[in-house]
Amino acid sequence: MDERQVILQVQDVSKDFDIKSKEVFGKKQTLHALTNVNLSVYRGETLGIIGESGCGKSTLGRCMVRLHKPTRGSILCDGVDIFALKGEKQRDLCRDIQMIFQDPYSSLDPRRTAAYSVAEPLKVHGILKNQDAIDERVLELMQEVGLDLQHLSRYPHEFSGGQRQRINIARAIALNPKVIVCDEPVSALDVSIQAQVINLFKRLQREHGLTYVFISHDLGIIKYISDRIAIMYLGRVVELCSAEAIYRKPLHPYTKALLSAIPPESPFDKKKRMVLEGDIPSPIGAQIGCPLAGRCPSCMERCKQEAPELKDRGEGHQVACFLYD
Amino acid sequence: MSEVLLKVENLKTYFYQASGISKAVDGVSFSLNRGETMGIVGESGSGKSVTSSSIMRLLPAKTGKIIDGTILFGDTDIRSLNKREILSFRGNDFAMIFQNPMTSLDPVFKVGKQMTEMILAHRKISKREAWDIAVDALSQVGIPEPEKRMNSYPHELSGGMCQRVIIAMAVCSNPKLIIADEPTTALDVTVQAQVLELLRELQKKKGTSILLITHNLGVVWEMCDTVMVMYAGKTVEYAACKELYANPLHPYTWGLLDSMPKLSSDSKKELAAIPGVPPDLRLTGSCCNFYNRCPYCTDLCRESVPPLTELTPGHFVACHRQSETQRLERGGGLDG
Repeated sequence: MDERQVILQVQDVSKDFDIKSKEVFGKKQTLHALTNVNLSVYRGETLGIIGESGCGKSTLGRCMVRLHKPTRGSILCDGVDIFALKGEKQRDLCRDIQMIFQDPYSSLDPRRTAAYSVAEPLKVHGILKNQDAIDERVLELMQEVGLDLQHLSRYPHEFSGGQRQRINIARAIALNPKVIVCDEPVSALDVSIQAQVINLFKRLQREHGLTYVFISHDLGIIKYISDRIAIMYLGRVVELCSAEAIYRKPLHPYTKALLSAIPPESPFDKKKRMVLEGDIPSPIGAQIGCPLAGRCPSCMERCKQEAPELKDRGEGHQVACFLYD
Repeated sequence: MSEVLLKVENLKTYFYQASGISKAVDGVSFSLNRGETMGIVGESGSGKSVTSSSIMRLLPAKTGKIIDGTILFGDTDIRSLNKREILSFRGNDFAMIFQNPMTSLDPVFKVGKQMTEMILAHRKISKREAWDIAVDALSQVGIPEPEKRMNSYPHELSGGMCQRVIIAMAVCSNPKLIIADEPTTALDVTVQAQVLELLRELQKKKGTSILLITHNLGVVWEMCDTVMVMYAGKTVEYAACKELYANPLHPYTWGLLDSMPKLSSDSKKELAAIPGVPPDLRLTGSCCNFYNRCPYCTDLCRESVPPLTELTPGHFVACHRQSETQRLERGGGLDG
């Protein structure tokens, strides 16, 4: 990781959703899903994104694969703005950034065989024209993810959750992408199967030099698989640092609370809890001040007025908190 | 405090389906003391939830049947109770908390209506009194402005709040046993921490026993006194929590412990995943259910069912390779 070449750059991205008011002639309201997110993803690394539900981690992942268009800001892939492309070039770009979704049950067409689902991206992008070549490549992909010839003609309902997720992975790597955005790819799986799929992710990365953006709410998994971790809260990245630093030296109060909320690793391990009061505030309406201000134990007057920016505190450890100013 | 509250012995619950007999629970034994918490861990389909529904007698009447075993609650044999008797047990002596807080409340009724309805079903008191009990229960579980929340609909509450309401409903009849089936799985970690804290506080205050079903070992370490590991419908290991962590004996337990990435370890080496998938529950019953995934498997494992034996006091394990005369070392005899 010496060259540290940026492959995907998220620049000041904000995403707002308009929601209708409950009243008939009520004013439209705005849901701020993402606010001024800045991130760089380096070639060959795994960037973990962690946060609770509603923090915008999936929205960010979807923006990266162009399923959402950011309201403000831009996303660059290899220096090219992915939302400025049209036609042919846009399709080429699709090939470079692939996505794996959370629910392995709903992300496969129940009326198509596994082989069809894996072959589809090859056909759509016209990479292989000849049916024999497609069949060969599909088998190769299936074997790569630990499935076999016998699985080719089966339908999704005949597979277990872990196997379905393997098919999704085969489909994602079919086009030799540069980046794969994985949105909670293992959270629907059982522990023993989870470990198998994580090992598969690791192996594919080693063999193909893939770059992952790995979204999850499970800190254990994120820390295991990631090189760097971004912690999100209410649409903002509050801390960004290397995977070890987050456990060794968390800086942001939210990160500390998140770490202390994780159940212990052994029955002998009694930890001191830092429990945040209350619930996550609503992302609807104007957002003033630090998003954590209402729940933070070290909240200051300033936190209620302005939102802190993500700043580097040495060794690439970035944190958005006034405590470190 | 070592009075036994719930004793389950060799419980077998089968489901009779068109495709065959599914042995969802096929030999589960444990006992739970008063005021203690027991955890049941296992993967999906291992029979955790069917065990709890068997205890509550909430099995689907047409397909599910308890075919063998005893369930003793205090001195009462749950299996021998008739419909009316079991109704008075449910809600009075034991309460249940389900996994998904948003779906265990009826979306068309206000919280207060649902809570008072539940209280009135079990006690002969006036509506006014029931209302007061409900408000009190809500404030006990840490819901701010309980009077106002009584008039809220479930969709107006967050997931964590809904789960608090369910817990309030569970505790307002002072049950002796609470069965919590994955109570925090649908919640975020910080909210999960709040809910677990709440359960522990209530237990301390009221001396309730809790049967906690989860797939998260971390939650078990935090909450439980004893723990039972289930695999494919069977108890494979049952011990005190600390004992199980320090001296796990069953190869499946080893696999479970090893396949979880640890926060504290910096190692990036491959996770020790358990190969293969759990067996089809229609085909189990004549062998050790874990044999095809077990690296220590012998011919004996393929041929007969290992009995659940007490190896050291309070530590039960069902494995042919672990007995009084021979012990298997974790990782012993394997390459790499």
